[in-house]
Amino acid sequence: MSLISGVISAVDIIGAILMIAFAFMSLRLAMRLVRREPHNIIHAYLMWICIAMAVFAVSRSAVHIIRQSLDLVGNAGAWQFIGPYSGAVNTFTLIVVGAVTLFFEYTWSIYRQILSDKQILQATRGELMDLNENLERRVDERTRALADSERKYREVFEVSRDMILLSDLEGRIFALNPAGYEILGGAADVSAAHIEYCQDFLFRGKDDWKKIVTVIRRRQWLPDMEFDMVNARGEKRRILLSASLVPGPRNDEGRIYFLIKDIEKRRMIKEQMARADKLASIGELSAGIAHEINNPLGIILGYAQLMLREESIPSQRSEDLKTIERHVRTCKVIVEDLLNFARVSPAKKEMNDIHGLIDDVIKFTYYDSGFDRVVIEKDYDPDVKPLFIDEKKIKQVFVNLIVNAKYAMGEKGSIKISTCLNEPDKRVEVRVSDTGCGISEQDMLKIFDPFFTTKPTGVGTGLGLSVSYGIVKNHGGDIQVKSEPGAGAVFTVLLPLEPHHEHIIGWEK
Amino acid sequence: MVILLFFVLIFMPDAAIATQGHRGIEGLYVHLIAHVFFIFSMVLFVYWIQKGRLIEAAGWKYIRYSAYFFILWNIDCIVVHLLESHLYKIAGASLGILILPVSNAAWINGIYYFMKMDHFFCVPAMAFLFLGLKRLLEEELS
Ligand SMILES: Nc1ncnc2c1ncn2[C@@H]1O[C@H](COP(=O)(O)OP(=O)(O)O)[C@@H](O)[C@H]1O
Ligand SMILES: [Mg+2]
Repeated sequence: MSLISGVISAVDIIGAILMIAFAFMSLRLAMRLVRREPHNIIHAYLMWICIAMAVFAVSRSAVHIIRQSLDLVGNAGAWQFIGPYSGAVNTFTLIVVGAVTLFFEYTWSIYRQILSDKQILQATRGELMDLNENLERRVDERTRALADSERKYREVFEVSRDMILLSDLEGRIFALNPAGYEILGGAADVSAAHIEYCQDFLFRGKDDWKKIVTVIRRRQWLPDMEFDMVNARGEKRRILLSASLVPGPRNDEGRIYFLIKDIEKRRMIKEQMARADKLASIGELSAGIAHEINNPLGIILGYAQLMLREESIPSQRSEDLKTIERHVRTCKVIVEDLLNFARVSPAKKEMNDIHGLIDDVIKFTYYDSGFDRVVIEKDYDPDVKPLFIDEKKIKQVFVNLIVNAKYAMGEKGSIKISTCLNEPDKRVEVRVSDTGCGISEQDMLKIFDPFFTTKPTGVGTGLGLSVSYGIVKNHGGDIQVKSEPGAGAVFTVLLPLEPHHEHIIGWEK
Repeated sequence: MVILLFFVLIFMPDAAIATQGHRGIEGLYVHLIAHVFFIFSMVLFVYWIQKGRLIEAAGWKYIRYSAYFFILWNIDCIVVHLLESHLYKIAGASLGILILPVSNAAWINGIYYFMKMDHFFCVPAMAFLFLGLKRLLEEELS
């Protein structure tokens, strides 16, 4: 029995020492944990457990050791005194550990709640701080982006070569870009005050406008359509227009966006091409006819002259024959004109002084017909140098122009011939202006057409201007007309400074 | 079984006197209740460790083991205390709660002496607590 109790004593003492050692070592670790994170409730709990266990270990194990040693010493009486204290402390520490553990769960769940709340708070705070810090920058960025986009659209509006117009359904103009002012105003400066309603310019009269608005209202948009408009200077222009309806800022009234292209130039080119086409076909046709007629005419004239020679004494017969001869000659002139017009002769171009050339023409027309009361003024630009032109043909052009002018003026008036060097456009402009009857608006479109004439039969053939037009075009130039009916006409011949390489135009193939 | 017995014992009617006296056997009762309370708290503790997913950290695994050993230790203590009271009763000592219905006391003596070496449970419990704390601290530091 003493062996067993010996073993028990040994185990008791060793166990007690280990208990104390582990308890205090654990307590130290727990305290370190707490020190690292003073607010961590789990660590605090562990520390309380360790404290209680340490107290327990001391009160129990130390007392075990003391008891064992007391037993050895044989002083059992002392144990009688210490024993109950040790037991009470043991009980107490057991209860403390239990209580602390029970409370731990409760605190633990609260602690977790606090932790998650804290996380949310921190995240929110971070967001708030971020917002606060970046608010100014963001506002700045947005403002800049807005300004950028504003500028971009403004540029489109300002730089566009087409007219952009914004109006309400009544036609009152809200916005008009610079190109729009240019198109509406012509070359004249038009202030905003003068441009109030688009129907004053774009659509003739209120009825047209009403129709267009109804269409736009129904379809929300208008496809490309051609219209004639009258600009502030009263000039007619052809325009290509498209429109779309957009809701206004307050949604009450719609607004109409117009996009308008000035196609006057394009139309003119189209017309010129059509004219050249017409000239070409007529030229071909008339050349054939002229050839066919020329020979019989020659024969008629020959026989008429032969018969005239046989008539020695003047008689009714010889008078008749003379009439035949005269009219046949007129026919021949017309036919020759026609042949000239259609001639496929290559131009013989040389350097020619345009002033000398015009002087020759004036002299010739002067002698040709009595230019008594008609004054011819000359205004030559000394800067104009000789040009590479076909002398005969250009002379023909000016003869035509001067004869036309003279005819338009009748008995008296003045013709002014001026030349001028247009350096930027690299051309010479010869202006023939008269104070004659002028050309009416309808005739203006037709005067270059072959056989168009307002002169009585036998006087005009209607070929002069069309032939001249062909010649000038073949020199790479152009003829422009301006006229005020009743006050005269101005024909401007434009000739290029640089030698023009002949190319096929119109009927000259 | 033991716990149930305990509750019966605790709530046994006694002479109701205004100021209760604290004599003899009462200390033992309190001590046993403390042990049961300890077991109860440790069971709950293990449950929370698992529920709270603390188990994932290596430190808490050891602390759980420590809790298991503490439970064992408490059971051991309770058994020892009961055996002790039985032996006391047998020996004719005044303080005792129950007498076990066994005739031969020899093997009870054996068990008693073996179970008295409760250090086999409480030392590992403390050691695991220490290990667990060490791990926790290491994890904190890393
Ligand atoms: N200087 C002018 N003033 C007024 N009308 C003109 C002038 N020049 C030409 N015209 C008009 O243009 C028409 C065509 O002229 P043109 O082609 O030369 O044929 P023609 O002289 O044989 O009539 C003329 O009939 C005339 O009506
Ligand atoms: Mg003519």
